[in-house]
Amino acid sequence: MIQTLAGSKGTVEGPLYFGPAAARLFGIHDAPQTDEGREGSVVLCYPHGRDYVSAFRAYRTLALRLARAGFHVLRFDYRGTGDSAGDIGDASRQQWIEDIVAAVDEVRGAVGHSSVSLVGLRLGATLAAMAASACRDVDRLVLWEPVVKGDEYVATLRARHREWFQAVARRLARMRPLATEDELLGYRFSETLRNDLQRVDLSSLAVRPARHVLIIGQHDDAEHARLAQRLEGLGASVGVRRVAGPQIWSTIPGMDQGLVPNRVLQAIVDWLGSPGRA
Amino acid sequence: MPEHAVTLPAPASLVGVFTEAEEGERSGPAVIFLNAGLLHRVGPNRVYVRMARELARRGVSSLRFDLSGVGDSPPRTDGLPLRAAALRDVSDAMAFLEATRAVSSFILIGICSGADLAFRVALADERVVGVGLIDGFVYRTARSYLYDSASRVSRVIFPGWWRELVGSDGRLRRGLPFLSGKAAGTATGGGGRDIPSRDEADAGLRELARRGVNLLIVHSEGRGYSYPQQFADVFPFVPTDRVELDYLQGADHSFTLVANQDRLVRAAVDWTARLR
Repeated sequence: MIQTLAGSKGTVEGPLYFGPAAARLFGIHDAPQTDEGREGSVVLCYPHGRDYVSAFRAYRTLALRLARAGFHVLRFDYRGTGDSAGDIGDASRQQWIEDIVAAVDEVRGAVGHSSVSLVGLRLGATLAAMAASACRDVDRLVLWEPVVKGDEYVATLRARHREWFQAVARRLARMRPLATEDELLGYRFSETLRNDLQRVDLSSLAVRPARHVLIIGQHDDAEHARLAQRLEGLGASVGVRRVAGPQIWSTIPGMDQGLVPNRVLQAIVDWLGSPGRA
Repeated sequence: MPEHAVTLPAPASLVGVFTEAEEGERSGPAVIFLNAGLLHRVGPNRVYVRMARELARRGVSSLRFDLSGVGDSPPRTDGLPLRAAALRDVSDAMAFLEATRAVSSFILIGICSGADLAFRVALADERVVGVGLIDGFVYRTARSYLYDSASRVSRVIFPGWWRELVGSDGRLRRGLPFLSGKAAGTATGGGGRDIPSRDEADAGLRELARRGVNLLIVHSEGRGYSYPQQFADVFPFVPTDRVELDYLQGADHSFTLVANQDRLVRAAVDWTARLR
């Protein structure tokens, strides 16, 4: 039997599987920890690959803080990642967007709230924006260091992979030749996914993803300003903030420190809990 | 294959995924995967998920879960110190599977600190019939120092050819038997791990041998383990029919390259399947 967020005795808290039988998704639901719910739900969209590992603790911390602030929170693994069904070699951008849409539907169906917000870091932010455009009824969207240009993102990961390989190959005897076409920092990187991600250009989004959008950068990034302009042009109320804190993405293997950028997380909780403004 | 999200009863409240054997519940042991350091239950680069699914296809059920305070599991509320808490976590996981899945014996598989914990649990609990120690404790031998020194020199002077002469399978050693002399080695590793002392490891392995517990010893390269038989040189009393050694030369500690993940998954799954 598939366990879903909507259990027979109310909503299921904690770990659960949801989604179609052919592509079951693993998620964790944190229920509001206050008597007065904000009548809102938040779906957290993980980044991919090393970023997923590095951000895992921060995401759990963010989920617990949002639950304490009165939100239902669902964080989940895309197909082919984490505990969800499938293999990363078969994954595609479109599948992952569909997974986010399924998570939004799951939360909405179980909790009954019309107000659903999305939060994502790096590629998770990008996918969240695309999924929100598909849903067309997402209230708020937090884009934390979003990947705006997919080709630059892939190029950066390839460079990281090469750095790692060169650092490790010096120590190890028979490391097989580098193959960044097929794998990146510990994960298969299929031609489909490679093409999918390289074609990403968030600044050409055609449909307003949410009524309110917050872009959080931890570094100066001209792409964020361009993205904000685009989203405003689509009719969204957009805020751009720079919040200092430890970088928890694109670390090389073996450098996973489980850091939690508290100020960034607090900025997200505050913004989602604030009255309707960007 | 069916996978079930589980939360163990309080006070542990540990979060995990039970992967059910495709051929239905069997009476044999179930596998429990233990966290590699602070990585959550999927293991480095998701290798535990791959192992669990492949084992399910071969009729073996498994549980991967987060120890208290790791991944999605909250800290325990009973105030146990770190090592005792980890031991109790695994004990709770076994009790959970006994109660809900009618499993009475277990195979523990752990990477890095998970291997250290698997070893300690196996010593403390006779329900454990097999332990897979992946990048677990390592004790040096004279030969391992020789290999490492030769390796460093050769990479500078003679890249490539020397290993064909020396050979990771010990071709040169067989020709020069004095090189197999053992040093009173110290453990390598660290980084906050709870590595058993050499004496603890020695006594513990003797106890596991007495009980007939099966061992899988897998090591990546570059952390003090330098040739396939190093474990057997350090612990010659471990019966050869109870231990399987696998040295994944060219693999780093995180098993970053997919080819090395494939080798690791195959080693763990094949060994486990042979135990049943």
